[in-house]
Amino acid sequence: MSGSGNASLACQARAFYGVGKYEKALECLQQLSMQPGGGDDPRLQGNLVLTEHAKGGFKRPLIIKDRITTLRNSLKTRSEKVGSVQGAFRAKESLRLDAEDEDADEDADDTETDTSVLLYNLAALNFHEKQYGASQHILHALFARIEVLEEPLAVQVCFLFLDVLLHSARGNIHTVKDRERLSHNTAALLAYLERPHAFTSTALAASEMEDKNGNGSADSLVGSGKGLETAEFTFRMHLYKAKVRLLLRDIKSSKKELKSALEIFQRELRPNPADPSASGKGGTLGGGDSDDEVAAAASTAATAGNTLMGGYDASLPPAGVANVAGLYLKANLEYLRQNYRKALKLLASCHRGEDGAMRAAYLNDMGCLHSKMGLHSVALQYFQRAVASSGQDRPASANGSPAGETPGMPLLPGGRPLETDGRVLPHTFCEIAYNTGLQLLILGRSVQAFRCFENASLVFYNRPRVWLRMAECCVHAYREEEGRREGPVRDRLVRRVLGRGPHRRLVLATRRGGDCREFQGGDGARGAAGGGLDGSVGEDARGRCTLLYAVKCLQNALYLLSVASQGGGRSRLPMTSLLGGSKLAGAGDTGGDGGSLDTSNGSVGGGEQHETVALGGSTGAASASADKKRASWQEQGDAQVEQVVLLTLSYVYLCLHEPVLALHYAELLLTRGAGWAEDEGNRVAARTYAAEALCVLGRPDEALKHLLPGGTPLSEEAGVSSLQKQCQAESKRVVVTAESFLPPEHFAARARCALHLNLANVYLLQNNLAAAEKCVGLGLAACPTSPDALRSLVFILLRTGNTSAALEALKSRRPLSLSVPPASSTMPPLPVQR
Amino acid sequence: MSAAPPQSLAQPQLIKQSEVVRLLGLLNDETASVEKSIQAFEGDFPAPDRFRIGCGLCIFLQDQLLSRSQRLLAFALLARMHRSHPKGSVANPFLPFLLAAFEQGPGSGGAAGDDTAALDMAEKIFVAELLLNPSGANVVFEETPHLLLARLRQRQAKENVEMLQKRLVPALMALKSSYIGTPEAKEAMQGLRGLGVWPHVRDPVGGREGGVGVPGGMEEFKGGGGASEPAQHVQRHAMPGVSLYDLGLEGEEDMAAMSLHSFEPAFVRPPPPVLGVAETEWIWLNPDYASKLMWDAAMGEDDGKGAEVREVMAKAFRGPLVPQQQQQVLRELEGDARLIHYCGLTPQKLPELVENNPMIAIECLLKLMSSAHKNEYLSALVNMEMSLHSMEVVNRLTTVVPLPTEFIHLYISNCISSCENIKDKYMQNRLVRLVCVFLQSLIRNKIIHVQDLYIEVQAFCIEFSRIREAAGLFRLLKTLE
Repeated sequence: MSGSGNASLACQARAFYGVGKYEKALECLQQLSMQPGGGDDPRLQGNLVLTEHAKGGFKRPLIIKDRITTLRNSLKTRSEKVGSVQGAFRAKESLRLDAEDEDADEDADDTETDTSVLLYNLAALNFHEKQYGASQHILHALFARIEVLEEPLAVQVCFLFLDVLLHSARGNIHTVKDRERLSHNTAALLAYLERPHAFTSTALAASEMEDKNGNGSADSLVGSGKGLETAEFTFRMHLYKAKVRLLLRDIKSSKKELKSALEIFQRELRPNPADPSASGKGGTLGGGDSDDEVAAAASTAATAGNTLMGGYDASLPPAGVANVAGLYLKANLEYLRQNYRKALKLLASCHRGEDGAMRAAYLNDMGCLHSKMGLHSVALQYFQRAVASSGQDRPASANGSPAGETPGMPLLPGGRPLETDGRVLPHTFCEIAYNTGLQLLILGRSVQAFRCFENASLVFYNRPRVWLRMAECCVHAYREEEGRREGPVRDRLVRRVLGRGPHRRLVLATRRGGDCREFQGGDGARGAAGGGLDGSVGEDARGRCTLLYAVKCLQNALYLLSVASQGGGRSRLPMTSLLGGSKLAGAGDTGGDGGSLDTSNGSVGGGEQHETVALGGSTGAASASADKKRASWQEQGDAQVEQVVLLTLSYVYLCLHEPVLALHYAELLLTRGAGWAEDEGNRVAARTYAAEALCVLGRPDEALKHLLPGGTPLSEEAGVSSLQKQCQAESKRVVVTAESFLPPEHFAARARCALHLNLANVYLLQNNLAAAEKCVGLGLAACPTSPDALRSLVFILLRTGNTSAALEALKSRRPLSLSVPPASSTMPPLPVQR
Repeated sequence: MSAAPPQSLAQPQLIKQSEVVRLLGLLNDETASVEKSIQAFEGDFPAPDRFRIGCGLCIFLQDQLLSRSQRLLAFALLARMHRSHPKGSVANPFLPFLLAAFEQGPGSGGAAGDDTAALDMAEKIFVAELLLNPSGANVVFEETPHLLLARLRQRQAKENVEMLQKRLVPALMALKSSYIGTPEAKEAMQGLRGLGVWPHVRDPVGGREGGVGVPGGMEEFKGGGGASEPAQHVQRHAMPGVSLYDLGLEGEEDMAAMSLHSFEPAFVRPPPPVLGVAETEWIWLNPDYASKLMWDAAMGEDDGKGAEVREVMAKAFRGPLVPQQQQQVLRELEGDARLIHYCGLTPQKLPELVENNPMIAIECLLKLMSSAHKNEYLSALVNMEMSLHSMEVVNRLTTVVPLPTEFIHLYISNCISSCENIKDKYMQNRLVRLVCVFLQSLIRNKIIHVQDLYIEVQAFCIEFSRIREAAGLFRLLKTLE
């Protein structure tokens, strides 16, 4: 297809498309397709798809995606048939950057025609559906040959790539390694964007010319289309840099970038109320509104040889978006600097009661702020409203694509609509669900929290923390259920009284924990989650908040952690899985946020992962106490997550009466722990679990080694000093449950008591009744109100045939000391165990 | 909150209430002989149920809910349940229980006013004889349990206790040791569960047989105490035999409490730590500066853009171009900065271009120096076969743009090794001369530091000292030293 007539027609079509006259654009395209060879032009076909759907308001993005994919596949088949090796773009063949590209082959351009725009649109649509992995895959291939691309497309590729990276990184930057990866990946993109570009240089040259003529100014630059483009581009650059810096918690430089961005906005981008055409028109060619004017402008451009590709023009956002984006980032900055009030004001100033995504973001951020301010219930309210709000544009099921099938989501055959102007906007449902889950977990509402994390896992399935959180919810719910089943602490020892008169007897509680396998989780709590949470995940696809499910979650977390520690940026779940198999597997196939620009960073050992980097740079505004508080929030490395995962696995297996597995994971922690930063609390817990498992397996001698790691006999001094060390470690443990508000001495006393009682059990297994008695006595002394101590005491008494003393202890419901008097009467009362 | 477990969580019942009623009917029948009672038991309960019922009997015995004569009957039932087994007593699942009953005796269960020690001894002897002779040959089962008990007491009075013990105890020990050798015994509970004690603590209040005097306080436990029982219940106590009421097994929940689970010491299991919520875990949302779907503006453009150059370049890979073509390529490359990326030149093709058209190769490489893929082209250049043209290209490049030092060093090393490996003497001399000139040029232009390659170059000069250029290079090295 050639000829100036066709070129003019093409320009007209583009111009009509640009100003939103899709009917006219479609007419032009149809005329073009009538021309000889027009029907075969893939670019024309691509534009036809776009225009047809633009006419319908981009309501069915999945269908666009399908058509684009079909188009691309047909091109590939055609080029394979031709067998030509003389394609215009064969850079791929040589510009293979790294091993990962073997994977990327599919998306690299191996057709004779340049399909870069098609690929870009495909990536954008994947991004819209939160299939970050797939999107990144394509963008990676495009970026590998960025030099070949037309400049405006290259710029858009970079911005979209940045968006994908930022979206998949938020809430997932925990370690120095994570930061480095994000920083490294975004640096390459930002570096490309910062290079001089044709449109920026022409605009600058124009402004310089005008400067020389004496009438040049910033205003004149704004007046000209090119100037506006440049200003907008620079503004956007600063905005993205600020976004990256904020995610990296680099407060100082993000502040600088934001300041520059907002200055540019104030100076050059702020819509002039006197000039209505200036506002709300961004992104168009700036031409007149009538059809004739558009056509004329396009023809002129065409005859002048301007293919309208010289500029960065197609992506200007609607009016107001730039300002709001800047203000939200500023609020984000204040949030990181712990100036919550200021952040609240900023958010309030840019919130105008919008619906949909903006409102959801506003409510979510308000939730974050209130949570940080300690107002957890208010925060939960906000999060739940945010969930309800984001539920309005909840992700829809894909048409034939398993990746898009999110259980329980309303089935829209065409997928979640794009914005009417063709902008892609991923839903925020899963992010908000995660925040809500965290908030619910903090408030101790584990079953509801579980549901939220489950919803979040649809997108964040490759984050180990999501699985750990789900497992924590399961364990928490199990303990609540246990507490409920066992009744109040005071009634836990005597289950029943049977018989009358001479046959009267007390039945003591026998097996601990009942049969865990029957525990199905508090589905009774369903319906109380509030907001739009319920029904988000289909009933049949729902995981159950049980210990067995916790095992699966923890195994997933462990797998992901091992993948991460092997240095693989891209993590894929095994295709077994939880939410009804195929559904999650589908999500795992194309979604997620794996991948990195550079895979050559090799493996990273576990040792360095326990960072103690304080968050952000210090700012003058932050008070000393705030700094101290911030420092206490040290980053938790993967190692710490792994320790908690192993411990929880060990615990869960103990609860499930699987001592061998429990022992395996406890020992794994203890052996691997050598390379990790010491966390004595975790080690003590691991030793306790290992000891219990060994006792259940009838290996008391080994259990004793775990409980008294120094191998010292339980003499008064040695025992107490080793205990003290362990208790101190135990009391250091930070938990987010209500128990964390108890004084540390309380934990220390309980830990000491627990250790003595466990030692007593080991001695019992060794038939060393005297040592066991002594240990129970010590345990009682440490924590005289402990129900566990009472149980051990009663057991010892019954075992030694001292039934009347056992009865006495049971009746008075307080342990009568064996030999050692209670150490302290000022001990706080024991809380009801969860 | 009620301590009662939810229905769905209740454990399966060991024994049904109706079965307990039937069992108590058997035990309470004081007129029937032991043999008849055993027959009645076997008639009443089918074989598959007998083990469960036996467990119930064990519980009654353990809890000392039965009278002395009833206990004898219960022991007889337990012992005779598996009498037909070829292995005898060793195969009886209740053997450990019966052995324990023999070793420990009924404890403090003796009824008030009875001669407890005598009764205990009678029972022990009975159990021992049952175990040693499950068919009951030495025991007269035709008598009622009551009479049997009386007879046993008499016998005990008549015979020398110690002698009896001397006969029975060794026999039982032998039985025990033979039992311990069986696989069943080896599978006995391990660990903490094996430590368990009987979970029922007798706490009798008032009644016929007295009991441990407990000064009140038990009202605190559910189920009430003896002191506050209604009159009709007291009346029922007076009736002979044991009733469900006495056993406290009237309700379903009471029945659920009947089990063989023992009271074990519990390991204190601290809950696993909850991972603290890190600040980085909260997801702050910023409005997206959303990207748009893009219109393909290249529509209608000639796809053959640059096709001509690609065609000429394809020729350039195969052989030298005529000057006009060379000029055309250089002009086109100059005109479009991106053309270099799609003119068909790849790192794999570079050696061919260098060999055939070094001038074009130099221009192309100079254009590629700002590309991200620069190193791939350079490495293709390093790894190609040494030739005059390749050296020319590298030499030109070094004078125009700064090249990575590693690249130059690698190139020189390759040059030297190529010279050493070449077999053809004439070609070798030629190449050595070229390399020497090339090195001299690099050194004179201060593109390389001689010190970095001193030893290697010196060795090269010495090896080819017969060639004049090499001697010249050597002298140059010496002057720089």
